[in-house]
Amino acid sequence: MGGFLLSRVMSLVPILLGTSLVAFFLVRLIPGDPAIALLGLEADPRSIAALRTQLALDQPLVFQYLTWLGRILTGDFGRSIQGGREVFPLLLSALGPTALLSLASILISLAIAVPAGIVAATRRNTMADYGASFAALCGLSMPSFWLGVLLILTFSIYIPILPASGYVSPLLDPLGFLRFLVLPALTLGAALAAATMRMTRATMLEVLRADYVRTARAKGVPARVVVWRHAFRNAQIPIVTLLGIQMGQLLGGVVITETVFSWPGIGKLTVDAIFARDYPVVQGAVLLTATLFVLINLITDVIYTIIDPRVRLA
Amino acid sequence: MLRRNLLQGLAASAALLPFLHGPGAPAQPGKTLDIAIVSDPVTLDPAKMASFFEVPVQYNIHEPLLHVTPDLKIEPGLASVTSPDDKTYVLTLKPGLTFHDGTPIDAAAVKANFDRMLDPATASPRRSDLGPIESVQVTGPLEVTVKLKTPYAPFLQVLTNRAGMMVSPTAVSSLGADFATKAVGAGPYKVAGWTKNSELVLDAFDGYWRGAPAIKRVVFRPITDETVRLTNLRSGTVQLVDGVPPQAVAQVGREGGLTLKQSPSLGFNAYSFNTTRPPFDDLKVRKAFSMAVDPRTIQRAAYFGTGSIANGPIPPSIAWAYDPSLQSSQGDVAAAKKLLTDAGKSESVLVTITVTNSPVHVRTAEIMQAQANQAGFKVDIKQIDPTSLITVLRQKDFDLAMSPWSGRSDPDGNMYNYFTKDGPNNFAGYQNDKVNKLLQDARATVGEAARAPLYREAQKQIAEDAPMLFLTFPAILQASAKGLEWVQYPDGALRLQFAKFN
Repeated sequence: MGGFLLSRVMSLVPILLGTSLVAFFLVRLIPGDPAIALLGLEADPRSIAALRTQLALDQPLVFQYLTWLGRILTGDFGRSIQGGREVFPLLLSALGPTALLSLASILISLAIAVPAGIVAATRRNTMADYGASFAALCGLSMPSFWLGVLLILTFSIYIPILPASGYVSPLLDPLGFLRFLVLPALTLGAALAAATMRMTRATMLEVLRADYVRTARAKGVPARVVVWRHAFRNAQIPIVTLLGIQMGQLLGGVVITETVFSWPGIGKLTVDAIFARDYPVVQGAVLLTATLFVLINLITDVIYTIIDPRVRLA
Repeated sequence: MLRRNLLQGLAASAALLPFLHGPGAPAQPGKTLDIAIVSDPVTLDPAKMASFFEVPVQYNIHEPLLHVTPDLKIEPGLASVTSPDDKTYVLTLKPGLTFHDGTPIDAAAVKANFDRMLDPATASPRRSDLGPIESVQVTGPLEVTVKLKTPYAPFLQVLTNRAGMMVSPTAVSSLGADFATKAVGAGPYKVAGWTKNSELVLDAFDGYWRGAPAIKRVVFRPITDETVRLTNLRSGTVQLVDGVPPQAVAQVGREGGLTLKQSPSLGFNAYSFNTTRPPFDDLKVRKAFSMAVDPRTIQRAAYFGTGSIANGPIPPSIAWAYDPSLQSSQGDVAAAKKLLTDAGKSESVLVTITVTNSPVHVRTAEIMQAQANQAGFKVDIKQIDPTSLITVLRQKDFDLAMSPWSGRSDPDGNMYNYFTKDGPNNFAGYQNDKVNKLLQDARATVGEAARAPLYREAQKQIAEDAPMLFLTFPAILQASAKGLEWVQYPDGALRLQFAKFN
């Protein structure tokens, strides 16, 4: 296991190097540059030229890339061109809210999807199954901006019990944080639950047909124990894989949900940075997100060994 | 086993907690004004500000040397001003004032501000705002004398805006790059904390020259989604909203607990013709296109009746330079067709309209497309993001592209950059000696009575040459909770020293 972890962490190096290259050059392919974006429509060309020089945008691209990479290696992600904040703390301060929102929405999705998926599988082709599948279809089809606005209208206008949008740090006001969290987490959770429910249902159906389940039933093991201990335990691997992918995607940012709920997350930060051609922020965000994605895949692999002791990592 | 791992996972996620930060202290109800704005400001440093997003925020942190009233009269601010001749301005500061950090606002501080804005290394957009400055001298402990190379009529107006906002030179040097997020100025409020995309918290500054503001804490919350912005007002989370969407104006106006305020802005919604390449290098084709478009339809369908029809670059809010006799576009398809035939165009004229991808602009472009197609054009619409639009405009890589202007209280600000030969916003590539000279002269002439005929003359010539298609003069649309008393300004800025809760 130790050797496995080491080799996986080492494999991060080429991945991140590739990502840094792509991030650096891709963002420069979009028309316009940070100086134009920052100084805007109302700027004069003299100021734009001066700012370009100040930001070293007039240097050769390879030189700019190597300078940036060199600074990253010393832990210096640079400063945002828009507003001059230091990039790394800026990214972390946006990653926190996104991570909490992601975690909450995954928990909500599990709370909905696992029972629903199991019920649908154990009572296949009954009304319960059709109902759960139909709900999943709705969850998958509802765009989050629509569901989000609908939830806001319902719970902060018609039944005014929750704030419409915003964020407060859980360290300052834990209860307030939870109140802000509910609606965006539900919005995201609904979409995630749909996929997880379908996956749970499909794998459970497969496992329930397995020989050892039949054996367990034949031994007279109570149905509940058969389902939860014998069947569900073995259905977990695909679900965990899906959760890993979902978590990775969520940490990359959930732009629309973050925008609708004014949640100060990394998705909106990154998209705004792309629109503003804020190169240091875009590059830093892509690197950070890629690192997290790889790490979460790694964690998923480790979880496999816990769920299924037969899996050996080497 | 699984349960234990879940717990460990939760514990690990708690490691992220130190990175979550928020404002200094929880808000006090009743004394706090929460405001929904469209987007976070980019920077709080007035020497660096270049976007619309700072407009609602800027005057609350920063105080300009001179103040402009809602009806565009210039009054003393931090300083009063006298002008012994057309090229000299003497600024006299009020005694005993300090910046938020206690640094005295004296002549040396003012000179340091001018020096910083004029230093090419600062790359400040203020350098061109300030115009032909020859020297800035300290002529007394509280007196600064600014000498110009040539007379520059908009100078005082410029000092009511970003170029007049004084910041603490001590803080500039001690904060370095962090000044942009922690700005120390002389306005009614000081910065208490700023979490990107979440909240900008300002606390009342007791040393403000008009006296401490009535509302003790102001929190600006960027809420991008216009529906959610209004929902927050209705649910009481915020008490003031900037950027009310035009389609919601009628409804908000009817709601009992809300106050909607709208007033004419200083800017224009317009499109630049690219006069440097076919087909719009031909005056007749430009005229035909303008003739085909009916701004009244656009005002109704895209702006839901808000604002007014534009007939040129000067809106009626700048009354002394506005020319009511100019005709706006009429939507006359037959006349447009005839003009195209006169121009020798027998087939459809292919043109592309370049717009940013926001609904109101796309809708505007679609209406123009439908109207121009009837007159014999074949119009394509190209949607791009705002930064790409600026690039496309500057590279003149377009046929007809949106080029809106937020407006200035002096007509020079709405015309000089757009219609002089080398003007940075002359995206149309408009080259007219007469207009060029009129605008130069109007800038160098002091006194509204003397300048007004020059601007009217220039506007007439521009209307004849049609380098731009003017559609509407937008309105400033803001709404608040009933209990809040506040003043709306034609520049759209909020000046909360004049606000209070009833």
